[in-house]
Amino acid sequence: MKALITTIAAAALLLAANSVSAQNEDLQQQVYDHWRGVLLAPPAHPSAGNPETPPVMPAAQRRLVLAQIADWASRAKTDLSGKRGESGIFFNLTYNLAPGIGMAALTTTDDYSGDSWPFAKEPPYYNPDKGDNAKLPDWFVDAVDKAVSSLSLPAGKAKAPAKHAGQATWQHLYEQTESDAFAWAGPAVRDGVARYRQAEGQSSVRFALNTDTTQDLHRWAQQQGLPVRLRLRRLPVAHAHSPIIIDGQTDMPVWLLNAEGLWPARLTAFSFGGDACDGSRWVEFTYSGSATPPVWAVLGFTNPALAEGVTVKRLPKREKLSWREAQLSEIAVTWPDDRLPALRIAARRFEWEERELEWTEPKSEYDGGYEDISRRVTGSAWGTQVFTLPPAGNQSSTNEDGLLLISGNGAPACPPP
Amino acid sequence: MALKDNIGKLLSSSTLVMLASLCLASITSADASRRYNMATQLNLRAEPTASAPVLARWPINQPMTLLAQKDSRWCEVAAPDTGLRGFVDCRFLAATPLTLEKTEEEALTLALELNRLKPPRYSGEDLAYRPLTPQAAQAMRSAGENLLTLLERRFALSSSLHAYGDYTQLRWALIQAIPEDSQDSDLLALRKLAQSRAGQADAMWASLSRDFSKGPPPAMLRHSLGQRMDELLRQRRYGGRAGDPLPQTYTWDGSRDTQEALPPPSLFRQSFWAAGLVGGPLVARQRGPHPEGVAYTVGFGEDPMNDIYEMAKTLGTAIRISRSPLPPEFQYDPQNPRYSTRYELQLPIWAITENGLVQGKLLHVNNAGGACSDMEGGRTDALVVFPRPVQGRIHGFFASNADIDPARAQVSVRKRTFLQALSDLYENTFTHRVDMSVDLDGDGVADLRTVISEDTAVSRWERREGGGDEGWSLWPVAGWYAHNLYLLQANEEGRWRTLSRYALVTCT
Repeated sequence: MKALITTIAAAALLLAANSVSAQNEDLQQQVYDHWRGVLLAPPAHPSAGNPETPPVMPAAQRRLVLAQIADWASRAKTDLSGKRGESGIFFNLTYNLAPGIGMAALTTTDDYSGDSWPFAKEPPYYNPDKGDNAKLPDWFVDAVDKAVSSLSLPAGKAKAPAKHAGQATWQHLYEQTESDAFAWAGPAVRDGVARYRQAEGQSSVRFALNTDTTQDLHRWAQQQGLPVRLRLRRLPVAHAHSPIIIDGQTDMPVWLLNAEGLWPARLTAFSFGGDACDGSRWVEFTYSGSATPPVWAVLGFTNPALAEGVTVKRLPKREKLSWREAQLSEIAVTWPDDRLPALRIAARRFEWEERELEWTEPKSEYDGGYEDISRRVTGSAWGTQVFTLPPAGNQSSTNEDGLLLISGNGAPACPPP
Repeated sequence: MALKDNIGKLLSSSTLVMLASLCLASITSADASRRYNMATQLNLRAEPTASAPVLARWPINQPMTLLAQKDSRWCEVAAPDTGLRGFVDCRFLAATPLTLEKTEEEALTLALELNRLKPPRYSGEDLAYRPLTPQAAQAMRSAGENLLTLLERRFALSSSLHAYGDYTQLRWALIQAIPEDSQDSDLLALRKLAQSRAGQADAMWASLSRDFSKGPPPAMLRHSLGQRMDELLRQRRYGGRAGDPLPQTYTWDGSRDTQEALPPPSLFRQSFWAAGLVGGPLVARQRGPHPEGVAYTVGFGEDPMNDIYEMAKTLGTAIRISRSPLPPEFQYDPQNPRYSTRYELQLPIWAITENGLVQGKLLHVNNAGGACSDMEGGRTDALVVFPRPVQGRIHGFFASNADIDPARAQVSVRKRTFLQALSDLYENTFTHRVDMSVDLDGDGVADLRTVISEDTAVSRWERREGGGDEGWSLWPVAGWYAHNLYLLQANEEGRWRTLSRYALVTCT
C-alpha cells in the first residue's frame, strides 16, 4: 500500500512539476541538481577546525522553494475544507512542498534511476526502504511549520444549523454534503488500542483513528466557529521523506457511544499526516468521571439537542458467523421520532490461522497437490463499522442488510502514544 | 634495546654487510624478473607469433620468469616450477599478482565512471534521448571495455555467483542502455563488444558447478559490485561504516524504528558467518515423505543463492547447477534469455522455528518463475529435509561455519495482528506479523532475526445470483496491495546483514 501511495505521490509530483511556470522550470531543475549534489556529496568529516555546516541553497532557488511551500499551504487549505478522502497532500515533507528536492531524493535513492547503473538491483519503483538523505535545512522546516500553522482556524461565529423540514442527515463516507451529524467508528475494545488517563475528576481517552477524518474535523470546527490550532511536529532530524506529522488542539463537543449509551465529551487533541507507527493518526477526548468504557463510536451534532433521547440497544447474536469472522457484536442506535436515521454499529473480530499442508497426488489438473492437515489460530484483530439507512436513491455501498457504511476503524499496527 | 644494539653491532661488521648485500642482490634479481599472468587465460606459444603452436594455457596469476622481451608484444618466459619455456603476450604480464581487492577497486572506479557518464533518468532521459558528447562516448567506451575485462578477471580470481551475476548484468546493462541504432560509433562498438562476450558468460556459467571438497576453494566473494557501489555512495553521503543505520529514515522492515541501536557483535564475527533463506510466501508448511525423512518446500524471492554458494565453498560441499530456458511465452527479449535454474547440493542447515532450531539438510533450490508460479519448469523454492516432522512453523533456515548448539539457542517471538480500517465494504487489509529473534550462543545478543509479515484481505463475499451466502472472509492479497515481507538477517560484526528478503508478492 505504501508503495502504491508513493507511486501516486510521485505521479502527482510529476504533474506538479509540469505545472510550474516556464520561468521557474530552470530554477526547478537547479533545485533538483543542487539537492542531488548535496545528497551525493562526500561526507564532511566535522572536526574542531572544520565544523559541519548545513547545505546552503542559493538565494534564487531558496526563494522558489519558499514560494512552493506557500503554494502548498494554500492548496492544503483548500484540501482541508474539500472533498473527503486521502489526497496525499500531507504525505511527506518534500513531494508536494518542494518537488525539486523530492525528485532529487527519489532519483538518488532509486538504483534504477542511475545511482548504481550499471549495477542496479532494485526494480524500477521507488523503494522507501532504501532511504536517503541529507538533513533538510532549518529554514525549510521553519517555513513548513509556518505554513502548517497558517492552516489553524481562529474562533469564529458558528453557522446556524441547517433547517430541515424532515429528518436530519448523517455525513456519509465519501460524500461532501451539508449534514447535521457525523459518526466515526471507534475501537470498540480497550486493550492495546486505547489509552485512558484520569486526573482531577476528568478522564481522557486516546485511540487510533486509521481513517483520515481531518477534513471532517476541520469542516465541523469551521461550522461551529471553534478554534483549531495546528503545528508541525518537529522531528529530531527532518529529511526529504520525513512524514508531515501535524498535531492539533481544539475543544469540540462530541458524544462517545457504546452499548451502555451515549455520554458527552470534548475532542481536545488529535494528530494526522503520518501513520500510527509515526505516533500520528489518533484522537483524544476528555470527559467527566473516572470510567474507562470502550468507545464504539464518536458522534457529533450541529445541534446538541440531537443527542437527547437516544436509545441504544444491543442486537441479538447472529446464529451463524461468516468464515474467519470469530466474533460479531452489534448495537442499534435510534432517535425519538426518527429525527436522525438509526445507526447500526458492528464490531467484528477476525482470526489469523496458520495452516499445515501435506503433499498429495493431484487428482486433477486443478488440484494443487496438497491437503490441509491442520489449522491453528495465531492472531486476531478487531474492526468496527458504523452503518445507517441509505438516503433515498443511494443504494450503493450497502451491506447485506441494505445499510450504508458511513465510517470504519480497525486495529492499528502501533498503539497510540 | 640490548637486542637492537647487538644487531647494530653485527650489521656493522663489514663481512656480514658484504654477505647481506650479495643475498639481497640475488633476491632482487629474481624478483625483478618475476612476472604474473593478469589474463583470465594466457597462451604460452612456441614462437613469438600468434600463429605459433600453444604449449600451455596458464591461469590467472600464474608466476613466470621473464627471460627476454623480443619486441613490444612478445616476451620470452619460463615457468619457475616446471621450467617450461615459451613466448607470451607482454601486455598481460604484471610484476605483482593480481588480487581480488585490487581488481574490485578498479572495477568500482570504472563502474562509477560509467554511472557518471550516463545521464540521470530525470525527465525520462537516457542514452537514446540525450546523446553523449563524442568525448563522453569515447570515455564510456573505454570504461565499458576495461570493466568487461576486469570482471572477467574477477571471475577468474573468484569463481562465484556474484562475479558471474555482475558480469552478465554489465553486459545486459550496456546492451540495453545503448540503442541498437546509435549514431555514435564508440557507443555502438561498446554495445557490440558486450554482445560478443556471450561465450565468456557461458563459459563462466559452465564452471560454476564444482565439488568444493576437492582442492582449495576459490576466493570468497560475499558481495556484488552493486552492493559495493551502494555502500560507497552511502558512505559518501553519510560517512560511517557500511551497514550502519541511516540517520533518519525508514529502516530494514519498512517500519520507522529509527532509534534502533546496533547490536553488539556476537557469534558471527571474524571468519564465522551464516547464509540462509527466509520462507515465504504464506509460509504454510508443505511437507511430504522423503527417503531421508520428511521434506518441506520453502518458497522465496530475491535470490539468496549468492551467499549459499559461498557457504558451499566454506563448508567444502559439492554444488551442481543446471538451467533450462523458460517456455517461449516467458521469453521477452532474445538478447536476455530467461532460465529456470536448479542448484543441487547437500548443505547442512538449521531450520528456525518458534520452538527452537532443528537440524536438516538443503537438497536443492529452484529459481524459476516465482514462488507462486505453476508454470512448466517449476517454482522458485527450496527443498529441505529433516529426519522427522518439524514441530512449529519454519520461518527460514541457515547454514553456518560456526558451531551451533541447538540446546543453547534461545528463540524469542513477538506476534502482532492488525487490521486496516473497515471503511471499505469489499476489501480491507488484515496483517499478521511475526518477528523472531535468535540468540545462538546464549550470550543475550541476537545473532539472527526474522520477519514474516503477511497481508490478507478482509473481503465481503460477493452477492450470488439468486441470493445465497454473503458475509466476510479472509483471502490472500495480491499485487500492489500486498505488503508481505519475509526477511532473514544476521548480526555480523555488530551490523544487520540481510541474508534473504522477499517482499510484496503473494500466491493467490
